[in-house]
Amino acid sequence: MTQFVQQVVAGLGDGAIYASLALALVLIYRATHVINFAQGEMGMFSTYIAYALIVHHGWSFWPAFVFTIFVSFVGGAAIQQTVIRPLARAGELTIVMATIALLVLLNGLASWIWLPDEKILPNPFPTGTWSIGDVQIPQQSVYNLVIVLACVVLLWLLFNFTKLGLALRASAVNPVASRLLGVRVTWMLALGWGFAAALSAVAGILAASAQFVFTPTFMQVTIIYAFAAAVVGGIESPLGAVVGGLALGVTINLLGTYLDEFVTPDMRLPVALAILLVVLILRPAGVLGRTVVRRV
Amino acid sequence: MPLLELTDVHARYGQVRALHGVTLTIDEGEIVALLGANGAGKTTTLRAISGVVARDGGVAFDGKPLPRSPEAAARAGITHVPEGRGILAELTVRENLMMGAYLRRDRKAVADDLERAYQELPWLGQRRNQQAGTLSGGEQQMLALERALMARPRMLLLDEPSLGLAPLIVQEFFRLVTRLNREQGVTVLVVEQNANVALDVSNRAYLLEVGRVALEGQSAELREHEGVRRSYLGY
Repeated sequence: MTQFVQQVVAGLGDGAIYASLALALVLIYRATHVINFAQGEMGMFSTYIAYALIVHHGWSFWPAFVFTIFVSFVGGAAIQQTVIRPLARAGELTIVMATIALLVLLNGLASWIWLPDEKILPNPFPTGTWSIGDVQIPQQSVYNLVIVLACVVLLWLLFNFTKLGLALRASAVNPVASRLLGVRVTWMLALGWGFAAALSAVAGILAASAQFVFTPTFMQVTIIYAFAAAVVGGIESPLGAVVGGLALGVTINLLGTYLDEFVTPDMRLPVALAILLVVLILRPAGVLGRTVVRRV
Repeated sequence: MPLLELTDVHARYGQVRALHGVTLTIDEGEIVALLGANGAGKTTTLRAISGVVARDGGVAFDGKPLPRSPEAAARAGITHVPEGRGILAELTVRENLMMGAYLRRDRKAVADDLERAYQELPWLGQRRNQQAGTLSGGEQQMLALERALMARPRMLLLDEPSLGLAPLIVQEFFRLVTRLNREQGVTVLVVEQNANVALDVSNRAYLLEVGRVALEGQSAELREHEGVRRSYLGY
């Protein structure tokens, strides 16, 4: 039982990172109707920005964290305006190809600027544990979870209780009708990309601090978990992405603990994708995805 | 000075030209109908005004050139209810109405207008938290009209509001339109296939044929016009 609770908490900590990245995918999917294959690399690039601020420019962690999120937000919006927006007329497949190009580009750029060797992001979190009875709660997992949930709650408040949030949702649902109501839809799309970039920055920085060393490829497995989480949750459902990410983190951790002969660390990704397949066969729209009811 | 003035407006979809020089004027407070067969350019005329399609030629609103973008048209006070109603299907009824007031800053007056909409159509109020996509076609059309009014527009562009609706609902819809026109002075340009209804509610009408104005006049006179009667009224 003790081990079970510990593994659940550790799983939530990993899952928070998948959740944050999955939510980024969902935001862009809802706004632009494409999967952004570069989402993980955007997070990776942001992590290097934070790294450069901390290690090369002597910033302390938290100011660097906040500033990186801000820069990522602006960068994400800029990518939408300069790369994605001109391709809007070309169709969704073209945009998907552009995101794949971005993936390769950002990866190459990071290797070129910061070199592809292993870097260390100073970990701002205590690596110890809290003891509750026999249970040892890993502190870093709890911090990951709290930070990601705080971001999720902020976004949820923004989307559901502000005029801007309403306009963002309207633009995603029906861009032409929204423009006729006076909404500058391209700005809304840019904001959506900005939020997604900010979320992936959070995911990248937390992942890099958790795994001690990182290289330009360190998000490439995480993004696959995030794809799985987003699709399992229902690719159009923000709540689904968060729940999917957390559930995936916990499941993988528990399987790795209790079926450790079969689910070795190398087997975790295949198992995650197997779960994805099973869920999609049973519920093609994802667990929390809903088929939109529409009368004509 | 007319409220809206189109001078030799051309429009095209890609290489296909849809308007070949439309010229028309609408005075403040008028209801004007745009009639014509399928493909005559009625919908395109509305889209050219609100800037949804590329256009050439002069479009002036309230004496000033109107920039060619839907956002700019909305900001100038033109609310276009597009074909298919442009309902935000996954948002609630209330959210749809609030989006109508997107450009307004007077929050208190917006709240009052929302209440007024709920009083005008009580079922809207009862179903305010329902997804708008689950409303019937007629209900969506009424919602689209109420949403347009939330913008307090100076001019309404209505595209085929009667399409696919039962006659009783069409009557209710136009009763509301004429009342708004009378009470609030909203100017209306309405595109209709149903020439009978359109000539009933409008003061004046333009008849489009292959992307040009073929005929214009008082609605009552056009009703008596031989060609209009035969081609569009069917008697």
